[in-house]
Amino acid sequence: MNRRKFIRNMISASVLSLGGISAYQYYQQTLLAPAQKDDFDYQFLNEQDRILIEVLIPVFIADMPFQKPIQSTLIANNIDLAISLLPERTQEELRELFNLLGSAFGRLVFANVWLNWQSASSQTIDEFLADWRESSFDLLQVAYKGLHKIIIGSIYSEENTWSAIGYSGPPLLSGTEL
Amino acid sequence: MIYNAQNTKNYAKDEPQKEIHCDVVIIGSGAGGGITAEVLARSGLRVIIVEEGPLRTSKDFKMQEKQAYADLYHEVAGRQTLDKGIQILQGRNVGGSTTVNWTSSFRTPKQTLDYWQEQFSIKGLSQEDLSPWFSWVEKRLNISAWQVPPNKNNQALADGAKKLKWSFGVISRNVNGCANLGYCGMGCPINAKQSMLVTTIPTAIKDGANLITRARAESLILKEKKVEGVWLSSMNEKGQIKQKNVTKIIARKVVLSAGAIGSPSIMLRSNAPDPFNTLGKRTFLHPVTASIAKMEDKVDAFYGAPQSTYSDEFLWRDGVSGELGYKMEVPPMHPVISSTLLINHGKRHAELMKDFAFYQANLALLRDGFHQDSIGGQVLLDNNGYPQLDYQISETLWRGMRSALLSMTELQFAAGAKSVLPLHMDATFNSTWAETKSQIENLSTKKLRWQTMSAHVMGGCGMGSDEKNSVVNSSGKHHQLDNLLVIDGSLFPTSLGVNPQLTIYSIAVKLASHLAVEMNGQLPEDLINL
Repeated sequence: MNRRKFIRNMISASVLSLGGISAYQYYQQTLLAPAQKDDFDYQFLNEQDRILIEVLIPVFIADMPFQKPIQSTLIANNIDLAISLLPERTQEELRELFNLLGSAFGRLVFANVWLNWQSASSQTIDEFLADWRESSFDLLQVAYKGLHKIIIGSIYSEENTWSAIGYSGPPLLSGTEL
Repeated sequence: MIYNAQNTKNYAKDEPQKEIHCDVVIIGSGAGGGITAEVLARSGLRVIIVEEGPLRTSKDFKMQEKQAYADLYHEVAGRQTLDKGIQILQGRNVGGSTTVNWTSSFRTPKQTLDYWQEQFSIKGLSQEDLSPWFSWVEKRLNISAWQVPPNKNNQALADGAKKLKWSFGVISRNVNGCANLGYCGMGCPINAKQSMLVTTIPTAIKDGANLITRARAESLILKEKKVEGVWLSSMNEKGQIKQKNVTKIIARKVVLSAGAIGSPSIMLRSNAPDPFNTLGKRTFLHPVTASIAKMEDKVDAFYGAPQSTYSDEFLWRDGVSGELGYKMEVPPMHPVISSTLLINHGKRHAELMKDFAFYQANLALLRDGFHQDSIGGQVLLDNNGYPQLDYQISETLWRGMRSALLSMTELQFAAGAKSVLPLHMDATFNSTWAETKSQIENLSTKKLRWQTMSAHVMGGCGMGSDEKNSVVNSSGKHHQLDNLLVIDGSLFPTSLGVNPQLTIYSIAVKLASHLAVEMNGQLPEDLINL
């Protein structure tokens, strides 16, 4: 049994004793619906990471009146491409962050999300993000800022977010290419 | 288009040559390397320019942040100091930061050059000494005061300063046929910006220089006290190492122009002698603190020349080496960079973004390296041999940043701001100067809360006459190693107090001209008599 499974099982045991739901029910609820499929050749993000991103996007943007709904696969593509350009050291740090959030232990202890990301309410996720933003632990603040930067940056790089913020995009150039 | 398969190799695709012989190999194609390449190639020397980033030209520049940051900047424009306290914007492409800078051009202040002379016994770089070299560069890169009226973002700085009776001025820019678009930071789509990409490097190539892109200078080839050349590693299209040590370049001289993080890191990777522990130390950033004002009318700070006005009211506020002075300018605002600087989520972030077009932003760059407590940062290598910068913010610097925020927000209210937000994670928009002042006075000086940035990395291979407090001498020559020179912003023993490009160009043309003569090159006429 690897460490993650061990921790996960430990958590399951404590959930059972506290929550009184059956082991089978718990097991069922921790299963995730698969991430949205696309043809992108992901270099860094695994399916678990992409599920997390899908869940975080609507919480980050809240009620922004974008032209078209944000397509989460496109944002995941942007994030994956950006991360693949970062130095190895930074990629390793982001890997740890995603792994932590993907683990039952991390999800529960650091984000206070009990079952799985997809079943967590927007409010729960919004609160966990706010807790990290204000955390007295530098590590969690850094994690918040890291998530913020890759998700928000990837969203606002898309043209269909611009009209909502009063930006008409770059001017059209005609035949000035040298 | 001057760049072609004969003169330019892309190591992400092309087969590397095992061994190359030349007179001079220049590592880096930014402000220092570009100028050096032109001077040496025009003098008839055989030059190889090595660039870690890609070659991108105006046809690739689409005024899109998504593409530009990934293509043209180090670490997708998100490079950070070791403790993640400071975000660093630095170019990585043919032309280096000159391809993506905002074109602001200032001569080095006399105070700075005098300080270098007094504290580091630097020779030949007084204001008088440099004057003809400044003039040469200004002519070469078409640098002159911007004649077009400033955009609203810049106008607000001038309005506020005028109202408060603070000094302000118009910025000189290195442009030719500028259409006032506002996308300098994403590469100029009409080749108006006179970056190294469209000026000196094409000239060097015309005079026989060769360019290798997507190649990292892995290490110097050292033989006793001599540098014989450089090992290159190939990089892939994602900027990651493809294969180590694929090419050996043998050269009479090696010039490091890889910038203030890159140049020290190459010496560190090579275990270059450093008897007095000065290599990679005293790295300066002009740390930047910023504030955002909500104006009555739309500002559209994304359009128009990004920087055209400035105020030096507080640059020397307590003398040269007293409390840290600061220069005030404005940054352009585009969706990605702005949305990521507003560090919040959900409804709070949405509220902030809805007013995006009404925002006016001010920045202050702090003059680090002059005060005795301002010792700068240190370049280190991580386990992969990749550089990282450790930069701690001293109490003195915090005091300076607080003072700068007070000045900027006062100016913004004077310019008619409805409310102002100091860029700090604990700050909020306030609608009066009194409330804002009180908030700034109480902001915590924590590195992760106070949002600090830099676009000017300097130092790390400081010059000076005493090898105990410098890495190279006043000609850029390494104190311990023959044949090795540094010609870029890493030469500076302190920061400058102005945007650095014109200082780098001018010192580079002077040092490169001396080098050309020393190597028996035929220095062209326009440079002989300077």
